[in-house]
Formats: sequence, structure tokens, C-alpha cells
Amino acid sequence: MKNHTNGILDSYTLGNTHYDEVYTGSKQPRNHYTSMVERFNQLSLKDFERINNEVKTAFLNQGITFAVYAEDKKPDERIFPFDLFPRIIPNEEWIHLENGVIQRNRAINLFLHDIYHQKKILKDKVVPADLIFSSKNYLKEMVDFTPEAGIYTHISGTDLIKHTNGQYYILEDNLRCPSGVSYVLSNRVALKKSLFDLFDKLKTKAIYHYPEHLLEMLKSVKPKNVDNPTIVVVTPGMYNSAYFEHSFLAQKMGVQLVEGRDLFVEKDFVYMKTIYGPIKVDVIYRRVDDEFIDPLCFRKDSMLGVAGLMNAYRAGNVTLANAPGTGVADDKAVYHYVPDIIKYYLNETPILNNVETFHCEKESEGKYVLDNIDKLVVKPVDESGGYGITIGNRLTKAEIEEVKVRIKSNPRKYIAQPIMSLSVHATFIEESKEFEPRHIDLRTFCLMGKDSEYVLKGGLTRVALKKGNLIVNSSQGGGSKDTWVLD
Amino acid sequence: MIEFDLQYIIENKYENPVRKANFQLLVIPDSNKEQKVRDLKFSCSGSQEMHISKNIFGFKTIQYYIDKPFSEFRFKLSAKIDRNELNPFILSPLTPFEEFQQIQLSDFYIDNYLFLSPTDLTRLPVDLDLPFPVYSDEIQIFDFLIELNSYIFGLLTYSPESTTINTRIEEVLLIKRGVCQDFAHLFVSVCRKNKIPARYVSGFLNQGAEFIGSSQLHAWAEALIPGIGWVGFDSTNNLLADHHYLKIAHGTDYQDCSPIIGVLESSGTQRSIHSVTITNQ
Repeated sequence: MKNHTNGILDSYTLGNTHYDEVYTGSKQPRNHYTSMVERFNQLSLKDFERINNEVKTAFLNQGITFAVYAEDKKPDERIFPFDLFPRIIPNEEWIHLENGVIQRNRAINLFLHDIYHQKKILKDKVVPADLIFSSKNYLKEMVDFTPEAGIYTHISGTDLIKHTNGQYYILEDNLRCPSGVSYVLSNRVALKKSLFDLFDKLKTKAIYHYPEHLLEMLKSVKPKNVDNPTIVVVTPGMYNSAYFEHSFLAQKMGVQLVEGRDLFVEKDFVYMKTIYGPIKVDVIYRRVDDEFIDPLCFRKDSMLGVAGLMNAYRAGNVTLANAPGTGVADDKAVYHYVPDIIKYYLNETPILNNVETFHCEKESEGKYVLDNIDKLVVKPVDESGGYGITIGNRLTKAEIEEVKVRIKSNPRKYIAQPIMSLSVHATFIEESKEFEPRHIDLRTFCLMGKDSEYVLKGGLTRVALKKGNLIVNSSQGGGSKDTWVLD
Repeated sequence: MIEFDLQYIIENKYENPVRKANFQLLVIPDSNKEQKVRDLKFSCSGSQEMHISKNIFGFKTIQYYIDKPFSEFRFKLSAKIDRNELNPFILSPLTPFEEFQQIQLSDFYIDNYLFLSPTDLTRLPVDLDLPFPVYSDEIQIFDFLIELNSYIFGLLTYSPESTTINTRIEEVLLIKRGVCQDFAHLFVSVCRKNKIPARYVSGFLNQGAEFIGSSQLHAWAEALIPGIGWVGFDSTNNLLADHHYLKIAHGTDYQDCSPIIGVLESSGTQRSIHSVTITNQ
């Protein structure tokens, strides 16, 4: 037996009510974690802290930061905390995830085409028409218009969690401008620099070629009659919280990073101002929200957009990635229909689970909800940003009665879901100088081009650094881990 | 057939020079089976070329991009329009009950949702308690719309500059005054509430054989009657849109039909004059 008395993971206490990614219930490392745990246990606390500090300094020096906004203050630039202990996904588990993500995004893309053209799924009453038409993200500007190669969601970020039962569940779809991929790539570089020998024992799938795939995908959706497309990344500017990512991706792809004011539209073509004169732009990876992209068409007060861009787009002279109007499909209310959407267009069983959902307007489901409020999360269908959500096991008796009254008064407005618990992963906590279980999720990145589908191997594992916190967002004190898919 | 001569002029004057501008004009009369446009000419101050593009409903817009400073913008359009004479009174081939059934179908709603859903400018107040004409399966839609047209004509007083392009129905109903846009928006809103698809229309109105003078563009509404098609109603004048109405475009509300939208790099105020001249032979 090897002596583990000094191992930095020895004092780790299992997160026993949640699925622990690293250890089994008897604190044995799971098979795919054995060598990783062994390697980390060879490090002394002092060594580990030194490496940890070096990595932090390197992130700050490279400007791998995000901005936190507060009223009356300048945005605060922070590094996105990075935990050195990687999250590992065995290959067969990953293949399942990858197939599920592709299946889901393929179906969502067909759904978008349908609701902007024939609207068959609405006429067949699989998805309620009102749900779509009342969404502010359903754009009349996209009706009867087909984007190049029929692709709407060129870049999507599907968020997943692992529940207590060890199964993955889809938490949400991000179909507008999902961020985070720059952290994935930077995390891997940082880990390689600091703990290179980790990569000797375990073989992980490479991720460094993501920008190449992104560039190829963008080229594949170039407008017709263009041979060698000019591609740009459009950013809202350096004060945007994801500005680092915008500049990172532009630089890695070797294309220009521009703002709306660097572009103009003349005769339905888009041009970039350069010191050599105007250059025609063919494909735009835009990180500006729909309502700001064209002041002639959407918000008149937008300073971030390009006047006339939608005319150029609709004339087929420029491709926008993602297409405008994709937000209608990542609406919370539409989420519940995605399994039906998959069956409808692909005639396949969904590979990845949605979180089970009860519609209070259906009599039997409504009754179940009223009888089990303490075990459920109740959400209004038409609110966002977490408003009006109640979590059953945190309610007092009186509050439970209040929720019941609200549901009974307008059952159409509410849905309920089981309380999902995110899996936990050993994470180094600076305050206690120990590894402790912390909740994690996974954002995957999927690219869809003309005849090509690609999912980045792994993705962004976000970790909630505050004890017991379920919110993994960076603005809420979340961090990230490198994510390994074993070769 | 009637032949019209049309002249339309826009003059914008700016307090301070504009450094750069994008203009989009939606002022070219539509060519459709009722009207044909000939000898279309348009020009404007500045040397850059204008470009014709199509908006989301397929209507022609004029795009103009200027990147040299200017403090005055003049636009002039002239055209001849051949307009079919039209008897707007049409008999429905369907019974009132058949019409009613048609518009209740969910496929009918899905196919026409754009002209059935309220917009910011066509949303009726929730606590509306005015005695609007009531639609039921016992009256023809056409007859209901005639009644609605005349009700709105009686309800609102035409009063120039009483409202702006952003005025909501709620306020119009409170002051009971408005301009043609408000009459059209109200007509459209009540139709939609009764599940009758309706759209906002912008265009020119021939206000008399010798009529010359400054006038804004006109606005009216079109409603979709099953078995007949789109029929135009002008609540401002309590008239059906006949051959004196020369359509430019339609949309869900005024926002889709603004005659001129500009995105300007400038500061200060601007003055704008639109004038329309229509003569018929």
C-alpha cells in the first residue's frame, strides 16, 4: 500500500447527498479519476499553493478577465477563478453527450426554420402557436427568409447538469451569443504550463483547434457568389463583460475584431473601414444582441449596430452568425417542448433528458403539483431572470399555502419541476486550504455549418465556489475547471 | 382607369451640420393589380447614388448613405400612376356564419398572426368601456367593418398635431382626437380584437381634382374578409378606400410604414416639411 498520509486530497469530505464526480460513496476514486487523484496526492500543500498562485498571476497578466457591473462604479475587472483539478468525462459518456447535443441542436434548427416559414409544428398543435407569437424574440424580420444553408444556430451552448442518479439533464439552451469558450481554451493552456506531467499519464482529447473549426464553419455559410469571404467578429466594445472572448476569438481565427461604427452599409452590402479604403464584409460573427444590430430596423437608439445591416442580410449579401430571431427557441417556456420538437422533426427519441416538467393547467399534473409543492420548484412560464420561482424544500408552511393559492388562481401560468441537485466535484478552497465538494455544471459548445456539425470535446465546467451555492455564473462568484474527455 | 400625377417633396433642415447619415425612405407607390407606377423619378440633395431595397413585406425602400457633412436634406419624387376604378362595395360569397367559422380556425390564425397580434401602437386598453360595434356570427364582416369605420369617424375628431407617431391608443381614446394614423391604428386594433386580420396602410389620397397644397401622407387600414380578400377602410373620412387611394405600403402598424427613417450623426434639432401634390387627368 502506498502511503497517503500527506496527500492533499486525504482530508476531502464527500458531498454525500449529491453525486460526487470524483469519488464513490466509500471514498474510492472512480476508475477514470484514479491516476489524477494519485498525481494530486503527490503534491504538498505548499507546492500546490505555489502553482495555484502562478496560474492566477498568469491569467491576470494575459487579461483573461471579465467585468462585474455595479451601479455608480466603474466595472470591476476580475479573473475568472480557475480550479486546477480537472473534471474528467470518460469517452463513452462523452459520446452519449455529444450525440445528444447534436441531436438537440439539429432539431432546434429545423424548428426555427419551420416557425419562420410553414409553421407546421404550430398547425399540428405540437407547440402552442401563442407561445411563439407572443415571444419578443420571434422576429417578423425573419419570416419567410432563409439564412444561408438554412442554418440559424451556428454557435450554441447547451448547459447540462448531472443529477443525484448519475444521469445528465439539459438545464437550458443558449442560442444567441453563448460565451465561455475562450476560458476553456485558456484553462487548458494554463494547466499544461503548470502541471504538464498530468497529460503524460492520462490522454485527453485536444481542444486547441476550436478556433479553426469556428473559422471553417463561418466560411462554409458565406453568401453565394463569394469565393474567399472576409469574416469579422463584431463586439459591442471593450466595456462588454465578454470583450476578452471577442478579441481572443478574432485573434485566434486571424480575422478583424470590429465595432458597429467600423462598418457601414451601402447599396445593401456591408463594408469595413480600413486605412486602405472600404473592404466588403461577407460573414459576421456578431456578439451584439438582436435588438442592437441595426438602428434602422430595431432599436433606433442603438449605438452598437450598423444602419442597414438587416437589408444587406435579407438581400443575401452578408451572413450573420447566429441568425437574428433564434432567441425564440431558448425561451424557458419553449424548453419544455424540445423533446417533442426532437420527435417531431427527427422521429427520434431524445438522447438527453429534459428536466421533468409538470404543467399545472393539465388536471392530473396540476393535482400532483398541489400535493407535492415541498418537493418541487414552481416557475411562472412567462418570467425570466429567476423572478417568481419558489423552491419547495425552502418554503414555510404558510408560504406553501400562498403558492397553492397562486397556482389555483391561474394554473396556465405555472409549471413545476423536481428539485434538481447538481453533482459536486473536489475543488480547492483558498480560505480553508483544502479540497471541498462544490457544485458544477457543464456548458457544451456546438457548431453547425453547411453540412458540418461539431461539438468541442468537453466544454466549460463551471463551479460554484460558495459552499452550498447552486449558482455557477461567473458574476455570482463562480469559477471554472478544465474539462477532460479521455482519449 | 384614372391617371394621376404625383409629386412628393421632403425638406429637412438641421440646426447643426450632420456628419454622416443613413436614410431609408418608404415613399414609392406600390405597383399591384389595382395600380401601376410609370415614369418614376426621384432625386435628392448631395451627390451619392440612391439604392432601392425591399422591406420585409416586399415594398420598395430607397436607401441613401451620406458620409459628407450637410445641413439640409431635400428629397423629391415624381411619378404617374394608372389606377383601376374600383367599386369598393363587394358582396360576400359566404354566409355570416361561414365567415365567423373561418376566422375561428387555428390555421387561419397561424397564417395571419402578424395582422392579428396587437403591437405597442395597436393595443387596446384592458378596461375599454366604449360602445364599439359588436361583431357576431349573425352579421357579415363587411357590414361590421362599415359600422366600425363610421363609429371611429364619429368618436375621434381629426386634429392636426394633436398626437405624435408614438401616441398609444389609450391616450387617443382619452383625448378623443387624432390624426389619420390614430384613426387607422384604432380601426386595426378593434378588428384584431375580433379576430379579423387587419393591417396599417400608408399612401397618398387624391383629395380633389384641383387640390394643391401641403399635406402629409395619408394612412388607412385594410381588413381581410374570408372569401373576398383585403379591403381598405378610411376611418378618418368614413370612406371605403377606392381609386382615390394610392397605396405605398402596409405593415403591422405605423412603425412598419414610416415614410422616412434616418440614423444621423449630429446634434441639435431638425425641421421637417413634407408636401404632396396629386392631380388627375
